[in-house]
Amino acid sequence: MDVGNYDSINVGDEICMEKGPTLRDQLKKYAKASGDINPIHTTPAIAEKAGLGDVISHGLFNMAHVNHMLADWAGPSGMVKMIDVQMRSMGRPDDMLICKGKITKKYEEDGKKCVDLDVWQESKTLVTPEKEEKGYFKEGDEYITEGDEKYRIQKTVIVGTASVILP
Amino acid sequence: MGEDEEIEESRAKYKEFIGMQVKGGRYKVMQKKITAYCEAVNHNDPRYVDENIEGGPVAPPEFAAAYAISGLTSLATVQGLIKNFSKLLHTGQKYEYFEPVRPGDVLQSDSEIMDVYEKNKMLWIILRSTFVNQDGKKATVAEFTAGIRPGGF
Repeated sequence: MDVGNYDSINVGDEICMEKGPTLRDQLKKYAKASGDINPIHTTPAIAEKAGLGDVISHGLFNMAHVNHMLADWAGPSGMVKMIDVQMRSMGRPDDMLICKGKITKKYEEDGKKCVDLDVWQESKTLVTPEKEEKGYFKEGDEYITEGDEKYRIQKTVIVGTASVILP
Repeated sequence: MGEDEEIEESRAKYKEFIGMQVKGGRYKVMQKKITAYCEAVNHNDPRYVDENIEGGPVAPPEFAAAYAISGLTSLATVQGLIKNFSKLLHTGQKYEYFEPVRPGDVLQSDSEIMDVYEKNKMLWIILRSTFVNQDGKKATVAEFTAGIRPGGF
């Protein structure tokens, strides 16, 4: 992702970064690296027992990708000042996570070039009989078809706001 | 009774917890922890993982999850608030960043329960943790929001 250029961006402009697919092994690594070792993220049998059907990704794992987008956009000379999100939907193994931001304000503060954004994360999940059986999908979900494949789309896995200092 | 009044009434029920200081912790930032975290979230930027980069590496902003988990686990030390942690849903997270976090830093945290109330049959808890580095500078503030499902409180 290119570093944001304060002088050329405008309110309403969007940024986007796609991450994934989420891998089961990645969730195991995340559990160890983050210290969040709740087995509902790593052990299918325990996630099933908890009524989840299968493991779910850590909320902060999903959020990390939004921060990744912001940090790359801020670049080495900029920084993420603040991120404030709600976790609205569950992430699953095999999900593609699409992180997005929309500029709501640009301003200078203490000589720094600041940008406020609305941020959110969408997910795209390939529909398979196995996932249907495990209860990945629920009534009211939204689907798209690409070629022979059907995907469930969640528009707001994560939603919130952020502030970034650009170089 | 309206929803706002119900929330306010439930705050009175939990007033002993609101404003409570929760046991803090100490976290030593190590490059291997940053590298493992970056690998897990596939954010292997040299500015985070290259130990020889000019000026030295820093932690990516999302690494706050690794040092701020102490705030969440400290809730377990609060008697009489959460009875069953398996009913806890992590519903919101805020991070404010003030100073870069680098390998070798030692972060001392203090946590405070900012709010507790019932809404939609769930118990909502907001916990704020402030992380100060070895130079006494505020590095990060993390605000964690949890919803506890019925049966968990």
